[in-house]
Amino acid sequence: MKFTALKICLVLVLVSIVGTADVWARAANRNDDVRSQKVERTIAAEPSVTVSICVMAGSINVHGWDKDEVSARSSDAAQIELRQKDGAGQSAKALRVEVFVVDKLDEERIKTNCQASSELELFVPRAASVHVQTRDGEINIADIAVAVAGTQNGDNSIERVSRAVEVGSVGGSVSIKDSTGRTSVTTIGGAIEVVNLRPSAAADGFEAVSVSGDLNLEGVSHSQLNARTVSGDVHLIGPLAAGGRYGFKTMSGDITLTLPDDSSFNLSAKVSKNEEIISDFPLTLIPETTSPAAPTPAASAVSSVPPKSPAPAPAATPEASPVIVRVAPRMSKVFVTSPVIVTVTTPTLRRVNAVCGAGDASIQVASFSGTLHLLKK
Amino acid sequence: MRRCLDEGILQSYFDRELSNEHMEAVTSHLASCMKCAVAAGELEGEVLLLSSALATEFDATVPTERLRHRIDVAVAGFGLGNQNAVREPVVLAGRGWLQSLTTLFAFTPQRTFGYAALAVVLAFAAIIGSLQWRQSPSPTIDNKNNIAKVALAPPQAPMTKISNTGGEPASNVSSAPVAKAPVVAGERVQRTRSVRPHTTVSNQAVAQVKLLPGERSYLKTIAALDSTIKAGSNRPMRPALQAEYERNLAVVDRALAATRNAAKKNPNDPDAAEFMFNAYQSKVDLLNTVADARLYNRP
Repeated sequence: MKFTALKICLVLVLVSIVGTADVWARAANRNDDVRSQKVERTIAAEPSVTVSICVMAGSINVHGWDKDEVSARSSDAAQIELRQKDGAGQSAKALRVEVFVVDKLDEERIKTNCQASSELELFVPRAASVHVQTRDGEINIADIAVAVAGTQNGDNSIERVSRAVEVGSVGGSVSIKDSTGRTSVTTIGGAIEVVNLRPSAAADGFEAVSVSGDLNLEGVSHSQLNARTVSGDVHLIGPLAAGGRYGFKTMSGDITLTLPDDSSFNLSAKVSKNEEIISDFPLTLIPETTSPAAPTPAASAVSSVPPKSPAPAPAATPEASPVIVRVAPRMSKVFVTSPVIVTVTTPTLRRVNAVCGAGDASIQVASFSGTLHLLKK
Repeated sequence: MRRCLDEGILQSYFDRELSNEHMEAVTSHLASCMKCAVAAGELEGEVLLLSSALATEFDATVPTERLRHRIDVAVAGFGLGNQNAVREPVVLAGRGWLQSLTTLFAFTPQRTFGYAALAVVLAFAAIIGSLQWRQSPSPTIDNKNNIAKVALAPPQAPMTKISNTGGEPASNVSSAPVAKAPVVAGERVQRTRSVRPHTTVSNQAVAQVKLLPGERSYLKTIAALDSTIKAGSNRPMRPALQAEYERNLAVVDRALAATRNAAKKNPNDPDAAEFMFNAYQSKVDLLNTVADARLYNRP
C-alpha cells in the first residue's frame, strides 16, 4: 500500500514537472513570435509632409509612394511611434511627423530619441521632405522631394529627389543620382559621387565640400557649381552650362575637368609655382590687368614661344602632343591653337587667365599644389 | 615662432594649463610647424592610449581605508600587548627600563600576532609606496630646477639647441632639461601634472608668434572649437570618429602649414593669403563637424 502511494506521488510530481515545462515553452515561443514580428505604424499625412527620424545605428531606407500616408516598418524594432508634431488634431492629416523608434535591447525603458539601433523602412508621399540623422547606419533615400541626411560613418545613397538634397557625412561616402534641385554635400573623409543632376529652378546651385574625400561629379547641369577639397581630387565630367559659373578649390588635390570638344569657357586659375595646367583645349591666354607693375618686360618670355612649337615633348600629331607654355610674371595676349601645358614657373602664386571658344561659362580654379587638367571628352 | 615647442609646453597645452595668450601662440605654432604638429599628434595619441589603458587602474579605489583599518588593528594589537604587559604585576612592580625593553621583544602569542600584522602592513605599505613612487612624476624639485632654467634662459642660451633652417618657421629646438611629464589623460592626469606650476610656461618658452593679418580671429575660433571638442575628455571619442578626425586634421594642418609659409613668404600676394584663409576655413569646418558629431558620441 505504501509502495503504491509512493508511485502515485512520483507520477504526480513528474506530471507537474512536464506540465510546467510545457507552459514555459509555450510562453517562450509566444515571446519569440512577438519579437520576430514586423512592427508597422501608418499615419495619414499631407503630400508635402515633413518627416524626421533620428537613430543611432541601423540602415534607414526611405521611399516615396503615391499614398498620402507615412508608414514606418521595422523587423527588429520593439516599438515605432509616429508622432504628429504640427499641433493639428489627430484627425487631421499630418504636416510634420517624427518617427520615434525604440529598439529591443532597451525595450524596458523609454529611450530618448536618436538612441535606437534598428533597421527601418519608411514610406512617405513623393512630395514629402525627409530629415534623416544617424550615426553608424546607411541611409538610402529615393523618390521624394527634399532629402536632408546626416551620418557619421554610414554611406548615403540618394536617388530621384526632385527639389533639394542636403547631405552631411564624416567618414561615410555620399552618392546622389538622377536628382534635381539645389544640392549641397559635405563630407570629411567620405567620397562624393554625383551623377546626372539638374536644377529645378534657375537659382539652384550645387556645392560639394570635403576635406580628404574625392569628388566625382558627372552630368551636373547646375549653372552654379562649387567644389572644394583640401587633399581630395576633383573630377568633373560633362558639358558646361551656358553662362554657368564653376568654382573649384583644392589645396593639394588635382582638378580634372573632362569636357565636350565644343566647350566654351573662361578660365581663371590660381596655381602655385611649378604646378601645371594641362589642357587639351586651345586656350587663349589673357594677361593680368590688375597685377602690380613688375620689373620684367612684358611678354618677354611668352612672345619668344611660337604658338605651335612643340617644345619639350615632340610627337607625331600636334593634337596628341600638348605644348608647354611657360608663363612669365608678365605676359601679353597669346593665342594657342593646339593643346597646351602651362607650367607656372614664377616664384609666387600666379593667376592664369585664358579663354576657350567664346567663353560662355566661367571656370575659376584655385589649387595650391595640385594640377589642373582640362581634358576633351 | 622660431623655436619648436618642448614636450612640457605641449603637455600643458593638452592639459589646457596655458593662458589664452599662450594657447593661441601654441595653436598658431602648431599650425605652421609640421614637426611640432607631428610631436603634438604623437603626444595626444600617447595620452589617449594611456588613459584608456589605465582607466581601470584609475577607477579602482586606492585601498587607503583598508590599509588604515589594518594599521589600526595592528596598533590595537600592539597596544593590547602593551596593556597586558602593563597589567602584569611583575612589570608594575618596578623592573628597570632595560627589562621593559626586553619584554618588548618577548614573543607572547598576542604580541607575535601584532608584530606579524604590523610587519605585513608595513611591507604592504612599502610595496604600494614604491609602486606609487614609480608611477608618479619626477620629484618636484628637479622639475622646478629644470623648468626654471628653461624659463629664465634667453633664446640663445647654450642649453637649448636651436637649428634654424633658412628662416623656416619650423625650426628645431630641444630643451633637454625639461623632465618628461607622465603621459596620462583626463582629470587624474591634471592632478599629477599639477606638480608643475603654471608659471613654468613663460613668454620666453613660447616665443612670440607673428600673426598675419586676419589670422587672429581664425585662431580664436579654432581654439574655442578645440576646447569644445576636448571638453568631453571624460567621454572619449569613438574610435572611428577619432581616426577620421585625426587623419583629416593632419591633412588640414599640413595644408595650413604650407599655405601659411607661402603667405609669409609673399606678404603682398593676396592669393597666398586667400589660400591660407581657405585652409583655416577648412579647419574650422572640420572642427565644427567633429564637435557636432561628438553629440552622438555616446557609449
